Amino acid sequence: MILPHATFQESTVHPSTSISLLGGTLYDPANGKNGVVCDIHIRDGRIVDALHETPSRTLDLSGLIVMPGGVDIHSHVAGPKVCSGRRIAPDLANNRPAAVPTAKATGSLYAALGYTTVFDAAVSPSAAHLVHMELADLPILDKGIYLLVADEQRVIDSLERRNRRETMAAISQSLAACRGWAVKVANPGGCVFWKRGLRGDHHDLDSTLPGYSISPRDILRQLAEAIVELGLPHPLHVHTANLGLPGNWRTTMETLRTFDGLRAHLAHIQFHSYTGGDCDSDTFGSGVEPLAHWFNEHSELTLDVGQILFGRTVAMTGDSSAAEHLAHTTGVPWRSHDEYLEGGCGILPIEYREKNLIHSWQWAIGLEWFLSVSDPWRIALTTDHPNGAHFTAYPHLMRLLGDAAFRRAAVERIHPLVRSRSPLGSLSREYSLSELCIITRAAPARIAGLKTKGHLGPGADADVTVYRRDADLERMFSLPAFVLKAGTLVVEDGHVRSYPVGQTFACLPECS
Amino acid sequence: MLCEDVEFSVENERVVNLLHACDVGRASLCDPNRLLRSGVVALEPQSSTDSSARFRLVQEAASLLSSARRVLVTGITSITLESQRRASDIAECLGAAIDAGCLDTSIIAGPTIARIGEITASWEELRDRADLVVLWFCDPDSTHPRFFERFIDPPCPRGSRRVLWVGTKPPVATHRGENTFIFVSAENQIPMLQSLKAVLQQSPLEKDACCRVMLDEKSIEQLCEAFQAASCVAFVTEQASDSIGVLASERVKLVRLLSHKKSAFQIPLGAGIHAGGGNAAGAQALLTWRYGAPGAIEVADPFGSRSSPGESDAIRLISRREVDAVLLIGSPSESLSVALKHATSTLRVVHLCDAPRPTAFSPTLTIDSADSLLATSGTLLREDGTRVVLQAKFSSRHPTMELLLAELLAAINAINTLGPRTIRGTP
Repeated sequence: MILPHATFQESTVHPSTSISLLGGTLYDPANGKNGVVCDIHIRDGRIVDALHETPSRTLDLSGLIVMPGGVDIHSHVAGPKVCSGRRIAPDLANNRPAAVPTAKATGSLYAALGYTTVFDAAVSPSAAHLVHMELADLPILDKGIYLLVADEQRVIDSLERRNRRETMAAISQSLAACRGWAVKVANPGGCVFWKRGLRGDHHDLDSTLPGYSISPRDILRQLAEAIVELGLPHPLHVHTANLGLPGNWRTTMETLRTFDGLRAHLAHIQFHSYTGGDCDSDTFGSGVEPLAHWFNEHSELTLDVGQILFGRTVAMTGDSSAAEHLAHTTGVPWRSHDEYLEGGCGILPIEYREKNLIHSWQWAIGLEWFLSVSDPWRIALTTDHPNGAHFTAYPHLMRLLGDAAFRRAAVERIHPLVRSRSPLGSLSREYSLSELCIITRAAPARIAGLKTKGHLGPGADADVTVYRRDADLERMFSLPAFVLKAGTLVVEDGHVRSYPVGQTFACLPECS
Repeated sequence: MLCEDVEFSVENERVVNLLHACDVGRASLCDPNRLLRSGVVALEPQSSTDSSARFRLVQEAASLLSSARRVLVTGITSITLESQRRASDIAECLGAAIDAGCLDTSIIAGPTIARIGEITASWEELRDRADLVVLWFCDPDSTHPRFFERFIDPPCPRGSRRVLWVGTKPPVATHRGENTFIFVSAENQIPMLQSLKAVLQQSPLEKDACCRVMLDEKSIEQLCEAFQAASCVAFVTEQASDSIGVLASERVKLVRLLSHKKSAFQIPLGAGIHAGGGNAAGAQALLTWRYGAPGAIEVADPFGSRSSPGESDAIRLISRREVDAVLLIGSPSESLSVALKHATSTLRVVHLCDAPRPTAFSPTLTIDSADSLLATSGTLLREDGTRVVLQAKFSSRHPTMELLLAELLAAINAINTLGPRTIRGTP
């Protein structure tokens, strides 16, 4: 049994009012409505077919664009690692909508963009209670967490014994105890290598874990199978091995092959799509083409991109060795914390520069992914906030995708070697408004397994974003005219009008 | 006290079957004053008189705080995270400064983590992984009495554990004698750390430089050999008190260098039994997610506040009289008590007291809450971030701190809504 439910004493209070949104141009791809003028009716926080009573409020949305509230399925918004991010880059936390805002600022800024649901993509079970306390201070949004269950000692032990029932029981217990929504694996088995002091020994998927007989590939396959059998709404959320390293596209391809026929979600795929050899920047490049080809052929797979955008931010990951590698390479402040019987995390500030060869490649590779995936229902727009960029940069990214001329101008500014070698310049695809709606709302909701999000059909949560049509997509998506959360007006012309408490999604699988 | 494994039961209004407490914890938990105050030894049942008296006190406190030009909310290290949230609600309502009075936010250079970072681990990771423990100018026995017993004395699962004491004097406790002591003078800490880094980086050691600062080359070699032989190094340190933060940075740099080659982490011990309670880490976490920094918050603004370490920390705000009212919540640390002692003649202090009343200073107004150790349930964080679940053992005749803070917040809100607006600013 899987129940999205409110936690703590707090829950969404649906106003017992009815609202009619009249004459807006609706983009609701999940219900086959792409730019049609129609009315939307809301009662008690949900969309209904029609109102039989006179609505208590009516909004005339003639000429305005209506979409479901945005859904971010891979972000980092709460918990010890996020607090470490605030502390390691305090200048980015104070009074700026920059890398790691406070909890209240995070909720407000997301809502001001028209987003109404967010998932924190990496929470260790031991930190879950604290994360929920922090999320209770994050207003407006509905939220959920993905648990780093794969780093738990008892889960690794059950995988070592290849005992499916035991693995399923451990996952179920952790999800229930920690009120998690999904299972995340960050560098499968990586914490075992890390804690055994193995450095500079970036493993492939078939190296056995020190002290064990299983390999990272075994972990991925067994976890994905257990999650399918448990019937969790979101498949295994995978951050595979060798994140950020030149030549890691081969590891990623092996990861895709591991899931052949099994549902899985590949997180921040941009960081896993590099050609090249270790320490050889001249061979660094894009491995997107073969990966995207495989991905397009396998409908059981979904992904989010983790696009980087230029500027200062903070990197944070449950992959301690990736963080150490980056910190050692760049020399910036670095925080690492190893947790008892679990994995750990690494946090460091980072700045992506337009003229930097590697950063230019990363930028181009992310966009290449967006433009190479043929089915927008299997791809979610993310920057892996704050790793690739702050979430407030989403409108800029949407313009890069929906405005080829704007993108071409941006390509002209990046490193010349990337400009000449990347296929990005030859990709002329432009995302339509409907496709942008899919990759920011409908697809992430569907991928996350949220039945009442990402669409505006009867029964859906009345999370509605209303935009003014504008040829400048960045301006349009930056400043919604209205945002309603569960039928409550929360944002008007960029101003947050109210701070309702959102619900927290938790998954309670039954495992006999 | 600081240990999450302390257990006891209650019989005939007495603490019995006390397990896992150190001498400090035992004395505190069994303190007759504490039991008396907590209502464990029942004086009289709670009456309507108690409630009305508390109501008047809360109104008086709200009035006092609302009329101040600039308020500091501090203490908060002895109370639960749930209560700390209510305390920060009050700070936001008052537009107050907020700081837990921890040493890290009083260093002018700011927290080490922003300058160089931190490579650390849960304390159990030290116990289960470290085959070399370096106690660098710290004496856990004096701040964390059970640290040795719980985390260093147990055998290392991966073989024998070696312990090196580095400092100015050998450990006092006789049973620590079998461990190696390496003398380094206090003023040579930084040169020693830099020399160790140089050797580990295989840079030639500058013998002249060593001589200039009287460094013992044998000590350097001894430490480096130990580092190289170990598979996992735990570098245990005390709180760095140098105002410019160089020492703290150098320690992190050494650990960072080691951790590039092998498993290594620093265990920075906090004030321990001198912290004024066991939840300084909780306070830092809460202030960080609410305001963006672990303390020294100039104005509690949930959208992001300016943190000014060494400027807006509790001790300086009090000692410089930059606030005219203080809301002290819970048990103050020793340093905070001293600062309040010297300032209470010119400051108005409202103390929400969760333990036997301190004698070091005289608050303007004191309101008792339930005892934070004996009569409160909630969440604490150990210094390494590990969650500790606190379970109430007694029903106190006093309200819980969370309830008291909620009452105070309601009273302040009522004044702010109904009364004249106060324009606040730095006096």
